[in-house]
Amino acid sequence: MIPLHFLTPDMRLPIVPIVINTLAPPLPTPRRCFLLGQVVGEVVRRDTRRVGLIATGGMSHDPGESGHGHIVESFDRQFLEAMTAVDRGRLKNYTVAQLRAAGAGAVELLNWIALDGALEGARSEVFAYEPVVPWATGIGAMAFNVVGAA
Amino acid sequence: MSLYALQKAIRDVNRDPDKRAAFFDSPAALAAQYALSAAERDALERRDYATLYAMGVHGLLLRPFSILHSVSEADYLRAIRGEG
Repeated sequence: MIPLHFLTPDMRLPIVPIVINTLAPPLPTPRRCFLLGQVVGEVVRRDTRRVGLIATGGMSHDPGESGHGHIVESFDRQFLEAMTAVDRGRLKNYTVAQLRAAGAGAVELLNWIALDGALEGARSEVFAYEPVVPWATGIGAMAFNVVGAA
Repeated sequence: MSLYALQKAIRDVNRDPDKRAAFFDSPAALAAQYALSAAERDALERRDYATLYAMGVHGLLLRPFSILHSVSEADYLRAIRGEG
């Protein structure tokens, strides 16, 4: 994962990778990913160690597919809105087809949805969003404030 | 329907240096190693990107396969969009 390259360049921290299939059927549903995240969140909250949760995945993009180069910015902005809403139930109701409509690569947002399940109840904010044309990809960055979270 | 075998063949050409060399040497000989339908074998041997894409070959297999053969992004997209 690219963020780890920057966060812990020497990779000395213990890392538990969780891999979600975002590439080819059978794909997990957004609801299932959210529930997986909830379980991870419960386990992490029971742990006395300081644990960081990171998820990555492109937003709208269609690599190698016929929609390559087309970034569905409206989809990305709606998704970010769902990720930052007080009630994030909407995330669970996305379908894989809805994600896929923003490009095959947008299915990578399943990782984001799992993270949101793990941090349910935490305030979240968007740092940045840009449809990065040279990368043919919508790029977003956000953070969760878990201080005082349930 | 042997889309799995077709994608496996393309994956192997992309990733396995021996298979890649074999395909460059003789597409037909390489294709014969996989349980493909006649149409799949034909599309693979001719590198018919439009047909391979229509058959359901994953874009993340097909685009690298086309790059191996020096196909520009514009030409690739024209082909899979049926514009070429």
